Amino acid sequence: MDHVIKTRKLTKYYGAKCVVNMLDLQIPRGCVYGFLGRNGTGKSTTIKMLLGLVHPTRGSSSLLGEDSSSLSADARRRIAYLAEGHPIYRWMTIGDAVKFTRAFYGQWNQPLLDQILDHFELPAKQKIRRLSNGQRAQVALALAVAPDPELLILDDPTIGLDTVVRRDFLESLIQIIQRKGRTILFSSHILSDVERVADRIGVLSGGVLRVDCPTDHFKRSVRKIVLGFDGEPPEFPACQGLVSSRAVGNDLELVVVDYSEAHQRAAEALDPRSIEVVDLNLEEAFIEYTRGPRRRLPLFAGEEPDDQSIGNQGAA
Amino acid sequence: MIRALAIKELREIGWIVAIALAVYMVAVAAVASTAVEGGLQSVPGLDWVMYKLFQLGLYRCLPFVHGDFEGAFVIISVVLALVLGFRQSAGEAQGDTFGFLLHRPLSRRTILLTKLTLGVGLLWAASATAILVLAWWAATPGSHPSPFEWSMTYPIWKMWSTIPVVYLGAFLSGLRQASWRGTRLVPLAAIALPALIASMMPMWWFFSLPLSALTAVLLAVSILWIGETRDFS
Repeated sequence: MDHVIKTRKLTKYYGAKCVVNMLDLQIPRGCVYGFLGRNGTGKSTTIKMLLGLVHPTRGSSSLLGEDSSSLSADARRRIAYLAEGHPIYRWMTIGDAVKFTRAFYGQWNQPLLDQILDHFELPAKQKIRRLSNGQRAQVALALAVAPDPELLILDDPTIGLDTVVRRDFLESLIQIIQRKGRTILFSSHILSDVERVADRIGVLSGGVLRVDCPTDHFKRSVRKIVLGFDGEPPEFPACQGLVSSRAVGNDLELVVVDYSEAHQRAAEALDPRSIEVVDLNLEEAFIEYTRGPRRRLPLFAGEEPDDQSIGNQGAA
Repeated sequence: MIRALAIKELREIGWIVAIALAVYMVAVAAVASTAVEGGLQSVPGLDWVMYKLFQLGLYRCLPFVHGDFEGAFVIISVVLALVLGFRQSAGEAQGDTFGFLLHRPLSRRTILLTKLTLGVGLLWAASATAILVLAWWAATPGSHPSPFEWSMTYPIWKMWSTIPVVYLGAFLSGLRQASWRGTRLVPLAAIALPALIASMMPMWWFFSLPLSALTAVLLAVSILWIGETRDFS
């Protein structure tokens, strides 16, 4: 299979902190890949390593068959990159930004660009600094797709956008995706966005790629099992596919990938009062998959909050 | 592509150079208008202005012979060099536009060299304009109250040739990463010694010029190396 993006044991340390750990990723041509993870899990760093903006501590990556650390001008011409926050020169007008960007590309789809700017009612004379976050995102998207790139890399493109603008932005993205043969890597922590557009997802947690599979498969595979006990729940034995296990009151909540007979038998062996298997949507599956151990908050510990603590909460 | 990049740079730093050029011209005008009897100092009501010009060494200054035009020239030039250097490097980081710029289909070396060429070119052009305008005034018969020879301008041209070192030091300080601002300014501090030595040594052709040129080359190479190796995160 023709892989447009490849990484091999890609690792990045900032000081002693490992931000991306031994990432092996292969994204085939034509795939719309949702790159998921909570804030600070290494998504942006990975994307910047792919584009050669950040140097890996170990490992390597390639885009369109070229090593990321030495991408040629021709490869860059075929790759669009939408950085987080949509940075464009704020002193420019939209027209200036178009003129500046167009100068770098031999191939430039002006009708498409005009169509996008027209659709979002963005006049060429408008200064970038006067645009809202959403409008800047729209301009950035228009500039990114105008050179008809083979590969689009979008780093959290919908961050900071309100619901309506996000929907408009994604609609545009879906139309762009429908142009054949285009590969898109799309990082986000907004699951509904990813669910709408991605046909494959990767979940990065603590710098490690925990999931890399088709979106539907992930939704189908992750289940929550709630075992009810009369008293303190016992420990669940370690087994394949067990993502997490935690006690919530007298219940033991398990998150399991590919729930099987073996899991069922292990659960029954603990002699619970009840076993409930809960199907999860993508967002729930992602949350269960990526959150750490649940912190026990004093407020939920059964104690009555005193007046002072309520006052403090109000002040906060 | 390079033209588009150069136009962008020109639009970003052109106004800074225009302001600096205006300040140079004010200094030149002050020197030219007070150097001769019956000049600006004879206009009533300008005592305060004359006093300030006197404090700055620009009152009754004999350009290229005595007075402190060279001092004013160096101060304006150094400030301009610092502002241009930081604007072109740290300005991109502050606006978060390095990622956008460096992803354009041009080599990083070309992008940085275009910036440096524009920066040094404008810095040199603006400061040379100030020298040339004052020298042109001095060379006009009846202007300069002493015999004027173009060779009298050599000392200021020597200062002019050293200014890019300050610019490159500022550019490198703005580009390189450091754990805190103090250590980020190390390149700027490091150029002080060679710049001082270059301006004080008598054998300009044999010592000062090669030292300035070597410092400038080392700074330019460091800028290109940092540009290739640093993380733009």
